[in-house]
Amino acid sequence: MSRATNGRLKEAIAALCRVLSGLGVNPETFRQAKFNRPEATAEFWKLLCCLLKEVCGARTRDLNDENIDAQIRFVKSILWYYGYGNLDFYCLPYDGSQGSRELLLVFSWLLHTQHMLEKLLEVNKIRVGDEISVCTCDAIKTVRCKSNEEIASPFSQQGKTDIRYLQWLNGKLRFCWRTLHTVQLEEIALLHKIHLYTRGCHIDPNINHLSVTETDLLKQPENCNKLVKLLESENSRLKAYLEWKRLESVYWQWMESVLDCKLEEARSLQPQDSRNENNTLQIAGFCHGNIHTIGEVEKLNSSLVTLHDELQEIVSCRKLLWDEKVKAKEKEVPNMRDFCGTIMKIEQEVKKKTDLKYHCTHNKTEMHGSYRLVFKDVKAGFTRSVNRESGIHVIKATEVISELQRKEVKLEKELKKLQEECRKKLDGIAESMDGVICIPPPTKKQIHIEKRGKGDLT
Amino acid sequence: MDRGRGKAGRGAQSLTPFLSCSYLAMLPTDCAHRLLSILNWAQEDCTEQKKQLEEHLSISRALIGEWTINMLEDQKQEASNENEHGDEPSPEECQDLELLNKALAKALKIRESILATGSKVQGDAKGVEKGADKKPAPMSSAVHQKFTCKERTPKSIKATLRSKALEPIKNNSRYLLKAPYRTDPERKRIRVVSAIKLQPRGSKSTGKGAVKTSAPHKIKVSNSADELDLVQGYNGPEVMDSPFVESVGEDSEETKELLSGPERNLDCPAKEGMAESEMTQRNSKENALPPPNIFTLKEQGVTLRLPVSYRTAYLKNARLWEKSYLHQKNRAESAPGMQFIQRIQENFDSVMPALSPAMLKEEVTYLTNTYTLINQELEAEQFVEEDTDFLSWEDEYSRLLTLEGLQNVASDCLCKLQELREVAERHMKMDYGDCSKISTHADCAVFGDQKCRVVGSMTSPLLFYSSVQELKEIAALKLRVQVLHQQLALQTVLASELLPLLDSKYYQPLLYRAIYTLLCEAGEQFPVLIRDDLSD
Repeated sequence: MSRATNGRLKEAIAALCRVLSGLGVNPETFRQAKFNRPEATAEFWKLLCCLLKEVCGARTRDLNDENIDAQIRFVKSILWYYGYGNLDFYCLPYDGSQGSRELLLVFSWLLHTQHMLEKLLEVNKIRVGDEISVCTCDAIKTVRCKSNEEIASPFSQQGKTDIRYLQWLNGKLRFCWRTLHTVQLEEIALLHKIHLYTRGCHIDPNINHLSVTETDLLKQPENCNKLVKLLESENSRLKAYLEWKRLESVYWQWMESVLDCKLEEARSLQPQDSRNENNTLQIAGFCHGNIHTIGEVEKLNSSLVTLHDELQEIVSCRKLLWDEKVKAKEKEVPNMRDFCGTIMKIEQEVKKKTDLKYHCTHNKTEMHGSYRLVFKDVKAGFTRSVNRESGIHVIKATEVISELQRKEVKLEKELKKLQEECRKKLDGIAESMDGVICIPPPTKKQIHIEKRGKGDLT
Repeated sequence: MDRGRGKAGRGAQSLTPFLSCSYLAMLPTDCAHRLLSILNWAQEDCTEQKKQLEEHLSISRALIGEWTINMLEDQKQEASNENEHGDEPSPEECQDLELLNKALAKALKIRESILATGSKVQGDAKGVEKGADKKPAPMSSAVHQKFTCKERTPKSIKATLRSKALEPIKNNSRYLLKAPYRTDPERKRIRVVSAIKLQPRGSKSTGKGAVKTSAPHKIKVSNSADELDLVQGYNGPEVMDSPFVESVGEDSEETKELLSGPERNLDCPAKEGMAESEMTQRNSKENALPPPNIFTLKEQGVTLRLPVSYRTAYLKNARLWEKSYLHQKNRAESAPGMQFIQRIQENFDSVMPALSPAMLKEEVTYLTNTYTLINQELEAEQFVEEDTDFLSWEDEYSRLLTLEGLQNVASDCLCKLQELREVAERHMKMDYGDCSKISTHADCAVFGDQKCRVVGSMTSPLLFYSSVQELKEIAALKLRVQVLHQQLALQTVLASELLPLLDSKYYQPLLYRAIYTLLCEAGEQFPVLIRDDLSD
């Protein structure tokens, strides 16, 4: 490698380290790792662990930092999840004593395929605006049992619990949601007031008004320096990122040479390689909800089979009808060519429609992430004021509302379906009950009609 | 959580008599344990959210209320830079000046009462014309002019001009006299309104303020409340006080260097400012009272300016993010590391399944979405089915083809699902992890409830709303979706735990009723059970 390239490589790695500055990496470690030096190993495990922890979010908080064994398990688990396919990595010892070159390769693979730097910057982004999350991803939380925790119920007798306590808890939960909603409403009212009262105070013409954080900054100027410092450190990280982007091709060339080193070494070690087949089969001891996924696949499978059969039945039935009709039509049709032409046209149209709907869903863009709330008076000319070329992405509240409404309807339907299933079962049970008659509560529709009826009478 | 338990404990004591009733509907231990833990977890989640929101709320509340504002550091700095000519006046000097001002106030007062009669007759327009003609050239006029053009609305110009017009000769001496007092920018800038709403004042005024309150202003105030809107009270103190005008002028110059946006923007909100009339009142009021240190966002929010240090950092930050975003946008086209990735992946071991768990999850989600779509279309189709007789043959054919297409998609999905299932099974074999075996959270389903899997866009996207109502609707819907998600999860668990309890012959009707309520009515309504065994 020429001296110039070497210098550029050093710059690139230095820039990379600056982007990762929060994680405390030393550029020297990279060089050591190329030669598979053991002293770089621990640092690389730590780097990978911290990086993945930051990017993958809150769930990993309870990970013990000190325990290298736990760190390694965690890193391996996540790479397994992302699909890193080199078994050498999974065979690395849990004491963190060797394998720095492999770790360098792993790190680079992650960096490229999982866009780690971008994710890291995004995760640590300093948010000064009033942001609202528009995606409902975070609403989907798997309900899990805390098996370790003993839950004492005040309604228990000899280990048994009264079901009314369950009902009471359920009611309490609903009450909890309702109070949360009132708090949200107050928050929103105040937020809007702040936006309204500070119009014209912001330096960004697209935003125009201050956020809560920014207003608070003016109220408590002592916080200002802190925030400015944070912004400045982010700025330097972003600068480093841009620098890295400029230089990264050198890094990737160098990584190829690292890979060459590894392959060469592997070739010379081939005879001694005694990888146990049994070992390779069980490489990870982590739970990524495999069972859950299989369950999901099975559930989906059975629903799809039902759907498919249903469709088949309808289609064959329709086909019969159609064939009869066509036979009758054939006699009437004056021009066979016209008829065929129309049929062709219909076929094409339908095919296009189906393709569009079912083969492009991968690109379907749902709303994700956080948006800064910006108050724009309708009178003040809405989107016109935004410079679209600057890459600023803007959505309107109405779009979010309709998207959420769609989701709401879908979920409501699902819940109704589940409840209906339960009702059927319970009705069956009620019939078999001796000496008790069950009168189900009126449905909501009925209540509504009754109320309306009363209203008419009075 | 703890609080919840405490409450539950108390509830238990008061309800103990009920428990001793003969019909108990008890749940078996482990079933109860699982259900309670899930409900508690859900509630914990909700409480946690509320707590976070309330923390945030307390900040907003404090902002909306009254503040005692401290001089911002860099404003202080700006101010002190401007204060070059002024050694701070000594207290004695101030006192002297105060006296002089008082004397002047008296003179003005007399003048005012004469003018009052005159200006009532004169129309506004005339006042402006007059102002334009007679505009004097006090030492600050150039600055003043610049400032007005840049920042003020035409309306306010009118107002200031008028005020100038009616006190043409006094200006010089006034500025001169007031000078030491005015060069104290701290006192000046932070002067703020007291919360008390000022009633339109009559001719009553205290000595100190009288000098500062220009005669016409005062007349307007006392004349009619409507006209308050015409007078832009906000520029009162700043525009009329020369040193201060200077300082503001410089301030805006600085801002302009940073970004020309804000000053331009200012026009519109200043014009529409909700609190204009109050500001006018403040203007006259503030002269009567010693400068209070109280600030309310409602009344003076528009006057806020972000500190320079913040502005600089913010703008730089925004620019850098934008650049990074551009890089990210073209990352697919020019990916320098592609060759390395290809080579490393070629060397991956063949025992690895073709899909990673992450991809598998994605595929399953995709297929689930497809299933939902097909189902929806089929339902819609069946809905129209009843009146097929009225369809044209073209429509009918197209619908037949659509259904056939759906069938094909469904069978494709089934094939794909088969593959996924194989992959999932291989994953199971290689990754022997199991939720029930692993005790720490770190090991279990790290990605199970990850926040959002989508790569950040690296921009600061904006959401434009145009009314509070829209925001409220979004919040309500978001919560609703969240609650529905939770209800769905709870429903599945409750059904799987509770329904088997009814299989045995010896359950209490009470249990039946409770289960019915929970499973079919989401706990909102309950069925009526009537004993029928007394019949003959």
